[in-house]
Amino acid sequence: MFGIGIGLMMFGYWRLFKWNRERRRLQIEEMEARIALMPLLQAEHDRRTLRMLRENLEEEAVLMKDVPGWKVGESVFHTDRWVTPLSEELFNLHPREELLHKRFGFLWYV
Amino acid sequence: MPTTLEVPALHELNVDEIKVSSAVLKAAAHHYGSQCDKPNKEFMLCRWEEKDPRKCLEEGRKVNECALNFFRQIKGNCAESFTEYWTCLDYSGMTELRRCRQQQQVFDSCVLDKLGWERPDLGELSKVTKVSTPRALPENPYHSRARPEPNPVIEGKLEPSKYGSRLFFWNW
Repeated sequence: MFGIGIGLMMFGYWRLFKWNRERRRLQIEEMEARIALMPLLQAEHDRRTLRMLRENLEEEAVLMKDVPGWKVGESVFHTDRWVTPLSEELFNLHPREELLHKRFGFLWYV
Repeated sequence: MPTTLEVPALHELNVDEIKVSSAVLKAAAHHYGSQCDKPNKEFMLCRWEEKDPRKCLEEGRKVNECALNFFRQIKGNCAESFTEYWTCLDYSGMTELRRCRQQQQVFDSCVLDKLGWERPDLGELSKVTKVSTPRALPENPYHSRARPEPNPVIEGKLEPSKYGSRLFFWNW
């Protein structure tokens, strides 16, 4: 009786391990699809960020032209390397829904 | 002295975009990874070395060109099987690749016959590769200031201390 029970358990474990390995292979495949598409998505993201920064800069020049002593596009840091802009800063002049979509729209892969 | 942020003008950012949805991209991802490998890897190398998206706009443009050519070739040759494949993927909830194996086989054989492309095996796209570019390695990508000079070498005879390390109560 015990033998049958333990044998059945072993068989169940073996099937489980096999399916887990198969799932791992499937997960690798899906991750590889993501790896293959990364440059495209990264390039689009970069262009989008730079486009929004450009539009914000031009809006700033328009809005602050009467304020004395304001340098348009002045950076708040002392360094001159690229700092990734915050989402709030980028989406400042866009409706709030877009900021929420950027921050909370996509949470995790599967 | 705070510096001005330099952002490229809008006309420099204009690139022919790929107007295609996510299921289409995922369907073609494996073949895209093996065909458009070179410009992709160069763009990622540039991005990671320079740490500045403004310096990698040219490579990004080449990535887009390669992707556009890739999709044009598929559309020209294997349009029906590709459409079936990605509609099947779109139908499944999380665009799982395992739900559409049959259509994938049809698409793969079509692409192999007409264009000679082979689908890369499992694990081939995630291998680490070396990329050779004409672009030189950037010095000081973090724009750090000059490092201070190292301490001068101590001249003279160094003796062990008289009462030990004197750390808390240890006197050895």
